[in-house]
Amino acid sequence: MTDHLRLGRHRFPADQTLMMAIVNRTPDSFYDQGATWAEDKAFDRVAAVVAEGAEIVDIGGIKAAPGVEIGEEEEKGRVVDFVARVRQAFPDLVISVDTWRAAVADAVCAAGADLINDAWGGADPELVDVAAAHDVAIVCTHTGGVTPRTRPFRIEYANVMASVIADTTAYAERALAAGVARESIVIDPAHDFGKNTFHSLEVTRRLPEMVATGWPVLVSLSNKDFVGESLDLPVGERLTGTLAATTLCAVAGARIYRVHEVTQTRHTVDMARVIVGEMSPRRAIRGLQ
Amino acid sequence: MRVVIVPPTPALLPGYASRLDPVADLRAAVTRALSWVGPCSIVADDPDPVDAARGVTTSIGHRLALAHGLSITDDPGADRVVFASGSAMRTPKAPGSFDERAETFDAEIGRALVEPDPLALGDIDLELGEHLWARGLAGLVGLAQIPVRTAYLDYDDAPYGVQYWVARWEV
Repeated sequence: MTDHLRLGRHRFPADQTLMMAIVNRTPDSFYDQGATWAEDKAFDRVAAVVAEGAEIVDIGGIKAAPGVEIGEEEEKGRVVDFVARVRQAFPDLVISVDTWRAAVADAVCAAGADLINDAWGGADPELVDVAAAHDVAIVCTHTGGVTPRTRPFRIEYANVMASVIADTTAYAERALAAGVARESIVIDPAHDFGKNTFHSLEVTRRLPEMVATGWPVLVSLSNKDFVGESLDLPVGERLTGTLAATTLCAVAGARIYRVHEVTQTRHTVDMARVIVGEMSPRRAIRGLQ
Repeated sequence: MRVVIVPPTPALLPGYASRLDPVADLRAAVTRALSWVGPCSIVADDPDPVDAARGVTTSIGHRLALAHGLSITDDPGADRVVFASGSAMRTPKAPGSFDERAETFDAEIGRALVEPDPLALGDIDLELGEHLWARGLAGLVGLAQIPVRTAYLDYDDAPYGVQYWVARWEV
């Protein structure tokens, strides 16, 4: 759709894939169980994923699953100063903040965020205005209209991918109309959000349809329940399944990968893209001397 | 008249490009040498018979010439590009593994290219060269009677156990 992707102050060629490393400023997220709740631990995590080659960090102050209600001020307290610290230490890093609240987004953008990752599908209608005002990027997700921090319960779609495409592109158009730059809008099918495992599998299988819309696609697959249920494996044993799903998304043309494991995902994405001929091998000489 | 000797190395072909060029220095020398000639004749081995049986019809040398946009002619007075490489047995990890005769074999050809000593190219041991997986030797032998005025050896190395030369002769 555009010849490049712009995430706040950072520009990337449209065909470059990007690793977005998850950094939780939460005591209770499903995968790390508070491992980076302490600010210094979170900062160490940022340094580690940068060293692994992550282009983006996605900082979140509230876990996605239901739990203790975290108010706006508390969410700001968890993320705003941390964003400022990361901005100062890593000027070349794209800083994303995982929030659905416009007021939080406004504060983190003032502190140096480049991207608002709205995992809850535009629940706060003013979020796009904040993104436009700060000239940052936005991720437009599909949640099937569920309330933030709720689990899907008996949710049905006549055609889940049609719903995903209709909702995410409508959100993208709304962001565009609000003044967000076209090259700064990303869409995300949001695996597991408002979806059972069968829905998430169908979305994975049909991802080429989403890529065909022309909007750059972000996928967030890492260690999620649809992987766990597909293999009947608990959190902690889902990396192989995550990487298998990642392969299909890479072949389909997903551009941004929201991940816990940066190196393994980067290797998986690059290998898939090399196989399908989307890019060249890194260094091939065998038989060609 | 100008004569250029470059290796028929598949890694130089655009279709085999990597993101990190494993033959960057060689490529730079080859590109420079091939841009030094005008309309030229090409001397390159025919495709290996086994490859030919699989349907390969164009030699690597000709494919490299096309990739570089050379203007190919049959005019005997035109410049000449010879595609040749030395042994492929310089180290245990070389494509043909190690042969202790390889280094001497290559060194003698390298000396003849740079001195220059065209007559010595006429004495290349073709049987040994074939054993050492050298390529394009007939093209080098065919340079024996060329009256060279000035010779430049821009590249002389065996980075993957395969000997490459990039030489330019002013005739």
